[in-house]
Amino acid sequence: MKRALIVGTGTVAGVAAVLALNPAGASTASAGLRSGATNRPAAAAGTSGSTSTSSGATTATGSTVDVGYGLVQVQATLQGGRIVDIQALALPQNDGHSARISQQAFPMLVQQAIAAQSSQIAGISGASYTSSGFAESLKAALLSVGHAA
Amino acid sequence: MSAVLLEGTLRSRLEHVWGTVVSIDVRDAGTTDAIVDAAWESVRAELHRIDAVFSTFKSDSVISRLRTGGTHVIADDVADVIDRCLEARLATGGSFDPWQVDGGFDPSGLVKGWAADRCAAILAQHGLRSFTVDAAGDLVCRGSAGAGHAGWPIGIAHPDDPQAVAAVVEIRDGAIATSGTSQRGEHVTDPRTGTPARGARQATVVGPDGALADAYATALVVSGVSGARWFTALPGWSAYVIEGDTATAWGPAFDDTARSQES
Repeated sequence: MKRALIVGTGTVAGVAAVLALNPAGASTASAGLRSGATNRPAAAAGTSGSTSTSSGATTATGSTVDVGYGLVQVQATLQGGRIVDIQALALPQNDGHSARISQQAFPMLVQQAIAAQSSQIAGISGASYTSSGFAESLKAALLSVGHAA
Repeated sequence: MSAVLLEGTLRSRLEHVWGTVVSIDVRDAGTTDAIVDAAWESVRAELHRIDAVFSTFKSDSVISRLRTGGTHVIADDVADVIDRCLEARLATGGSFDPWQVDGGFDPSGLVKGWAADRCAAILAQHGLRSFTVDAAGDLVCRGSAGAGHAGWPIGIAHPDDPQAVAAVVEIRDGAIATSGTSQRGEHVTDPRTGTPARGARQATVVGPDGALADAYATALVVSGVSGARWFTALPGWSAYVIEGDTATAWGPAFDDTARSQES
């Protein structure tokens, strides 16, 4: 669905920042990355931040972000210093509208995030439809993954 | 390649505000977390102050009170935003007109970019030289992304393909803003008719000023490629306009990259 695309345009830059923090980049990236969301009582942060390894892959779990109409939490799997998968541990499902956005947008955001690793860009300019704030909150979640990595 | 993203020192911060997220990406080689934190605290305070002043969703904001009519004493920053709105309305021949909005004067189509400029100024006041401010897809860039870069390589979201960018543009000291109609119903209204904009599907503008970039991008969605009439008369500005399946580029920012690309 095309309409879900632009919802996610703000995300790649956040992913790019995350990539700079992955273990393979540790030798060159001196990064300090934190989510402003963690400073706000409304954003329930800190349920995670742990990393674990199994069979060569690293799993980084983002903090839970309260987007006002539900919780967003993602988990990224990195292999050889690259994101190979992103799973949603929590997505807003409070109502039909939120659930529909979640279903449409999340797979695209994952694709975008993984594609961003092969691009030479430092940010994305896109029309933003901010009434949901959904994708931007995912960016926060992805940034918090970077914080944990 | 992710290597480009690993060069130098990268520090990001983000804040939930205005129902979206604003983030910064600082690449100054010589700075410290403490410097970035201090600058970021000032930026965050400004973002929330701007929200309190300009939100059309808050009945007690300055803008909401202006919309109810009457005479009001306004602060310099509100006057500055109104000045930019006047400038943009004039420059676009009325394709951008925050006075022709249901419910009265609404500068929302310009405030996001204006705020990004304010944030950039605050970061500069703290001594930072190489950074971006990303206000939900409208970016202000300063300096460069790192060694080997003249500026910041910024992708323009592809209107149809989430895995692609329509073009990449290198921005050193400037702003980039994108507006579109096709993604979530009719987002942009033609102020001259009050009906949904039928010009371009997506328009991206690159130039020296975040507020005007924001406004011009919206205006080009209204005008479509016929907006060349007014847009190409603006010195120092570039645009990338997607109308139908064709992308049209104007201005120096796209001299090398995008002119022949199709969306």
